[in-house]
Amino acid sequence: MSDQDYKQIDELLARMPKPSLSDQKKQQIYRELLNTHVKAELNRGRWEMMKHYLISACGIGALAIIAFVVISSGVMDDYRSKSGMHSPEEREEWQGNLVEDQEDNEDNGFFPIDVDQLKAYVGTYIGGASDVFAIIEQLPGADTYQGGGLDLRDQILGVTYLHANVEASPEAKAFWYEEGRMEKVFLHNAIYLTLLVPNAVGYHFEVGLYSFSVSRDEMVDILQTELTDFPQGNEIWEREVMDPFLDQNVEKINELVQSEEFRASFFAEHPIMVVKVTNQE
Amino acid sequence: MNNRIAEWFYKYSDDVYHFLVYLLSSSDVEDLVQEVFIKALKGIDRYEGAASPKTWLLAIARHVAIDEIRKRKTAKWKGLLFSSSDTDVLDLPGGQHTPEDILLIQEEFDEALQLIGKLKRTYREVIILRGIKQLSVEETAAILQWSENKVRSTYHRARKALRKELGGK
Repeated sequence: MSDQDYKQIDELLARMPKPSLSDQKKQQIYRELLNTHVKAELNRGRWEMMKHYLISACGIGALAIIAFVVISSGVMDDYRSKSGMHSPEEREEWQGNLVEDQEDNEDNGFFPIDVDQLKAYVGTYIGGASDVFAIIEQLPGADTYQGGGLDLRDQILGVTYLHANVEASPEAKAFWYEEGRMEKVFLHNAIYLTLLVPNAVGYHFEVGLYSFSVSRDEMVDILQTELTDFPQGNEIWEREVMDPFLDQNVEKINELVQSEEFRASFFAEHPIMVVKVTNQE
Repeated sequence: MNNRIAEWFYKYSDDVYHFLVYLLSSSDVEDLVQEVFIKALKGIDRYEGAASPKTWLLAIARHVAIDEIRKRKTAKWKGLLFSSSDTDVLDLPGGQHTPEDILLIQEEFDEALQLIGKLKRTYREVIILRGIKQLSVEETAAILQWSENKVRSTYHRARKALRKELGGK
């Protein structure tokens, strides 16, 4: 083979088509990657929580042994009167109550919000930071606030629940990285903020490296179709209209949030993205 | 998701895609692209930064492709791998394409796949990386885990083999 032949082959190879993935396929793969990551984070969060509980259990065990030794030595009464320590029976009762409380607070497939309290914030202006903050405080996710914040610049209502550079607590990770949780909370909160803060132009949430944005117009288009008697014109600012509207639609909103089908179509249009790409781990 | 993987996905998913397309002689490799990035996501802690991210991802893609070839062999697929029915629809990059353009590109692409697919795997790998993707000898050596000399000599032989295939047409 001559040099000319090699050159021809090189040229032929360089000209060969270089196919690429369609944007739709990329988005689909990206979504799968996101799910894989969320599952991995969830497992890690669970392990950390288990470690946490294990350490707590060891602590309780150690306390029980100490208590036993103290009781056996016959000085328990005197010790209790000085320190206010609970008897084993009292502790048992207290632990029982704690378990019941935790069970009551579990997410039973919907977010327990107090719509009557939220009604007080109908027609909130985005400029009223304290009212906006009060709404956020009543919506799911507020308990996990860590290094987070509110950003109301350019009339975009932005909430950072977990700051990307702050290591999240095991509880916060367990909350946000539960499968489907981030989508549910983002959708749920975007709906209520659309209904309660009408002069925002968009809604933006961040959790660690994830971000989600949607414009008000897009949300209104969706809600006009999905909810019953969506307020017309300036009615969204009026409590007389909004109070019954919220009562009427609270269940419907929960259904939308819980519907896998609805979420899939919603987030296909408004995907959750990775927010901060840096070279640091 | 790990921020580096997210960034690399947008930068290099097409590179991984057409590497796999040529190596497996099939455009039906989207699932394998996904598998490559999932493996990268899980193994990011092992990425030491010695190679470029693209080189690292293509090395993963190569292993994924080799596994896939093994799987297909086990299933006695041999006749299927290079069959024209497997080189189905080509995702064309953005821009306006007339039906004639699409047909022409699809034909060229099918021919290219047929041609590359006739070569043995080591030749295919080096032809794709050096010839089609225009990677350097150093990058190709890192991906294939060969010496640079082996890359040069195998590429030389691979081009000869390709020439033979072309001449035989």
